[in-house]
Amino acid sequence: MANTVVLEVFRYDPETRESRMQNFEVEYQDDWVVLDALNHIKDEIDGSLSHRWSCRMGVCGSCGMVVNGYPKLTCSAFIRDYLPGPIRVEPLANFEVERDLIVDFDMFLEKLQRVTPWLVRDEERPIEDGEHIQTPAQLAQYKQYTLCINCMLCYSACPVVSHEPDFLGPAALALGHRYNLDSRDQGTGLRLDEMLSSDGIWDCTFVGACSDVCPKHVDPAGAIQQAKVSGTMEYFKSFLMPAGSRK
Amino acid sequence: MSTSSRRALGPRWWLMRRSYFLVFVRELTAIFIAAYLVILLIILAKLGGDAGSYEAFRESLTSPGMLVFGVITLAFTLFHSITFISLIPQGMAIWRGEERVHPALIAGPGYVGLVAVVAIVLVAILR
Amino acid sequence: MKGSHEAFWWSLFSAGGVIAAMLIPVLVFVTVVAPGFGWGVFVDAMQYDRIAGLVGHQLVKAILFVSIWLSFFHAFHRIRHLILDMHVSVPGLPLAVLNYALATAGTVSAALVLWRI
Repeated sequence: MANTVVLEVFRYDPETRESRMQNFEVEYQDDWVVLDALNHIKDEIDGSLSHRWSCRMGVCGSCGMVVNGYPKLTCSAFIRDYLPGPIRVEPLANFEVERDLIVDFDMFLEKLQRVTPWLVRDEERPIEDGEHIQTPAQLAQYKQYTLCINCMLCYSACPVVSHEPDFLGPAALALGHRYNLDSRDQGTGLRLDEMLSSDGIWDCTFVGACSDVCPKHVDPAGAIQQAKVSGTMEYFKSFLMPAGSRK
Repeated sequence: MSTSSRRALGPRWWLMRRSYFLVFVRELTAIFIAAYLVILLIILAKLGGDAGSYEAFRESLTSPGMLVFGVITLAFTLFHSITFISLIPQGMAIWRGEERVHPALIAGPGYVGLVAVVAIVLVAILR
Repeated sequence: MKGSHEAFWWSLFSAGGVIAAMLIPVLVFVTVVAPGFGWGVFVDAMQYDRIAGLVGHQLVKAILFVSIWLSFFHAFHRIRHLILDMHVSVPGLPLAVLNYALATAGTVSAALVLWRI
């Protein structure tokens, strides 16, 4: 007697703009994850099902979906943890749905770009001068925030992203913070213009759901609160020492 | 595009999960803090007047309704204290070499401070 | 730039949050809960002469004023964001103005009231 579980899968047709839930009874192996079940459905039951995935091991960030109401990487959501089912699979919240379980993440890419997520130098270091030297302690300061895989589970979990569509959001702000903390970077002033704007850190009310759902333990909520502290110090400095404010 | 396919969490997002609901309760504590501050202001206002007016107000504070309000307010304001102090470490990255100072070493002194302030106020009032 | 003064309100919110966390529960207990339960030692402690004497000290007044000021701004900053998070559709700027005006009114009242003691 094979083990079967029912998946209730969100279907969306962009041509008719109609959505529905479709049930699939899936025979599963004990070590299967939800992604295995979705791939089985597409391969053996309904080839029209559309979903994103790639590495199957929680490092690419492609397979983020909402499983039983909670944002998860489906490659890391074990069927055995959801038994006896049914398992409800939906696309990430707060994004436009392209088709079925696929969301349009242009919204995130646009916000990411606004925080200038690369090393900014006043003057590029010439090749002959060798690499930027950084101590382990300096690396430790920002390393946690480099672990983001851009899976966007945090955007799906955040109630502020939900009702303030322009809010830069957890991952973008955490990545901006990552570069501000990098000793090699000289672009803090550039980033703070975006991060301290009204679409930036101040929209955050520290719900903390982003850090709860993050599969890489980046703690974007912590990054944003730290940015509020440093942003506040910058603010008061700009009044007290107008000449010596941020570069 | 006439209708959006974006699925938002909606206005009742705070009912969707226990963690969201606790955040909502945390935010509600502000209402009780503000309400108590008004009562504190009235107590102080009466202190600036004659003893009779103050004592009459003090009497009204001991009604059953006020006691219920007081107990609920105490619960909410204590919830604020505990959540606020426990969240301070997340906003502070303090480094010792390559290791970040453990959150408990930041929240711990916060709770000690809370107990100390309670002790000081009780001593000042009861002495 | 829009919202660039949020840092100011947030600084009051966080300072007030620490103060309210330390001070408000014990004040609620001493002024409302304990007398409400009729615990004699607390009922006696709240007598006019004793409390007026305590609050009459300039240092105590100063501590009370700063505590009430910052606690009001903490509470109202959070109330403002609670209203926004409840998706109540109120325009942002009028809400902020009314919100911090109320906090200011509370602060001014505290100053006036303490002055008279």
